Amino acid sequence: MVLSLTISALVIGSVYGLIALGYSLIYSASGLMTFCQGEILMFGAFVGLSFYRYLNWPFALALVAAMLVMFIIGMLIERLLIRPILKRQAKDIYIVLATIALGIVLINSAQQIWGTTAVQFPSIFGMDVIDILGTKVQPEAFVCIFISTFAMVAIHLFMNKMKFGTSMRAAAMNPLASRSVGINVDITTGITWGLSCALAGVAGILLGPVQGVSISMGTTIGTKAFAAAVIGGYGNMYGAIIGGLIIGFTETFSAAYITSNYKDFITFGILALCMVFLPRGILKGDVYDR
Amino acid sequence: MKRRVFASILAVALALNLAACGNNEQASNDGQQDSGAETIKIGWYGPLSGSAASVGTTGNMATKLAIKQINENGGILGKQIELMEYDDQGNTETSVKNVTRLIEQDQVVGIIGSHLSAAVLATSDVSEEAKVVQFGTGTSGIWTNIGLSYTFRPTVCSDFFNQGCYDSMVTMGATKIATLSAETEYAQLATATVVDLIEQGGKMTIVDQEGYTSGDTDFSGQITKMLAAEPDGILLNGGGEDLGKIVKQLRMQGYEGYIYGIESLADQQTLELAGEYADDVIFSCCYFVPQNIDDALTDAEKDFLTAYQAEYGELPVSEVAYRAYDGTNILCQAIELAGTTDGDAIREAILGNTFTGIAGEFDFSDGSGEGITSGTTYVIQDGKIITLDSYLENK
Repeated sequence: MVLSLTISALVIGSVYGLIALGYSLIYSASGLMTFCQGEILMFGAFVGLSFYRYLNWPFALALVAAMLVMFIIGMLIERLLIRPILKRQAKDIYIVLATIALGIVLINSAQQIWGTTAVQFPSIFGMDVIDILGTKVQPEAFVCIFISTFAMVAIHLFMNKMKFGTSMRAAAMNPLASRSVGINVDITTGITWGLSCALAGVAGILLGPVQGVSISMGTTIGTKAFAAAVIGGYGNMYGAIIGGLIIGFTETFSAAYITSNYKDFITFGILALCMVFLPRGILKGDVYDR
Repeated sequence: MKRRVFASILAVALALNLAACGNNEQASNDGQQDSGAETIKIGWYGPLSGSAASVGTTGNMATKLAIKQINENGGILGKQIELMEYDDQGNTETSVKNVTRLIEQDQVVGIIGSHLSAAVLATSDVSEEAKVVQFGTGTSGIWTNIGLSYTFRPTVCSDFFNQGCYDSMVTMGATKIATLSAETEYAQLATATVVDLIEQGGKMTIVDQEGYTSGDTDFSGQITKMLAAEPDGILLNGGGEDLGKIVKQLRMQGYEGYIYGIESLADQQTLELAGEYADDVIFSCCYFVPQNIDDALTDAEKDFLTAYQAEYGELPVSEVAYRAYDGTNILCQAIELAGTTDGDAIREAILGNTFTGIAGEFDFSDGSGEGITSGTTYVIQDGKIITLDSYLENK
């Protein structure tokens, strides 16, 4: 039972971590907060579903194509929504409100394009299961853990070891100084939003085969991933991953050993406690004063 | 200059709004619709957004279809029917506001209610007090047989399905049952009813009982715990979209036994989301939406599905469409039989007559709010729904 729960917790925890990474990425690279990652996840899942199920593309190709589409959508969000608001010297709260509005627009757009009906995302490996010490596990679980881990490591290396990643962090800390040393802040911010949307899209596609795809699929997951980002330390890449795993393990094990009816209560209770006693999260996320 | 124009427009809009409010207040004091009204208004409320949107939407579409057909045949009492509809997002508080608005502002003569029984129960206070007939499309037993006079059900109460669900467990020789239920009133009541039957029957034991929050996506904790208790039957109760995910995740985690439930498992959402994992799911219900019109079990069902597909280009996603369609037709027939839009007269017409719908013959004469009391048990095999009897014959 413990092994089965651990694998399940790793799967859902890594997905939360992936989405939380998007929240933290935007914050660490632009100092902005977004509240529509759940809806972007949903939109990405539908885009991936369209490639994989309706166009019959191989899963890997559908995944990469959906990532690309979501990256472009992220760039467009920054260019057409975020940047005009920032140009008007608006306060950060207006960015938050704009992303909430964007979430509603994405839900309604998906409703118009794909309908209100939940649809099946076909299993990648059929009905085959892997037996690990008597515990039956779907191969999709390992794909989920592998892709999530790969994405997290890639983002970490990009942000910390590559010049462009360093530019993105610099642009977030001090846009004026960054511009003065030749960093194109608009481009770095746009790419940040693009990467964030691509990550959420990947999370949606990974969840699809297990949970199906529907317009409401991102609402709860987005909220839990936000909690993960806060618990880990908002804006901290490692914190996002740790926060995601904490949420994943907490809800999976509390559902099995404490109460299944109140697993969300326990999960968000931890968030509340964290905000009281560790307001900057476990890894003390950076708090920017823009 | 621009400010003056804007201020003028705002002032006119405000004045019109106030005038409209004044008219509404006056109208609400008048009670029922004026016989001189050009149309007869019927109300609809339910979820058109939120987690129950897809099922709510199909019920709304079926209501519109019924009204369109009636209007094409001359309407009722020589007038066309006008539908007043409000989205409650699956929120009970909003449902109450919607029904209050339907009665006081829109002055509807009858209401087709949500498929969420908690909403029907909550709004019945308002509709009963105003003596407006409401056909709630939820199946929970919580709002019938409790002394309501103007609230009726155009389908079969899930209590009858729960008995069918228990009988199917006995038939399949189940001995150890685990349950997983949503936190909703409907799911909790349905599970409690079957658990009571199991405990009274003495042939089976409940080995584990788990719950989940509607709209949740990951059930691995609950499933792992249930499977550790080694059940040979699992009872599921909740919304169709959730159950589809649960059935799939149950199979993905290695459960190979029978899965039992009631009409939510017949939902197209369940079949769509569970896909090839839906085999050996057994459910008791009144009817279900087939994958093809030709698979319809009765002429009435076939006619409805043909009309629905012609109107919307697709089949309903849930049998909630059947409920809403029957409810709308019965309400309109009752108004015609009553010869007036008076609530008491419509109620008397419903109690004093029988009606034929997709579900069969409705008879509301006992005053309980129930009109039909039969259900059938089905099983999914190779992606197709067949009756349990034919499944057992072929096994």
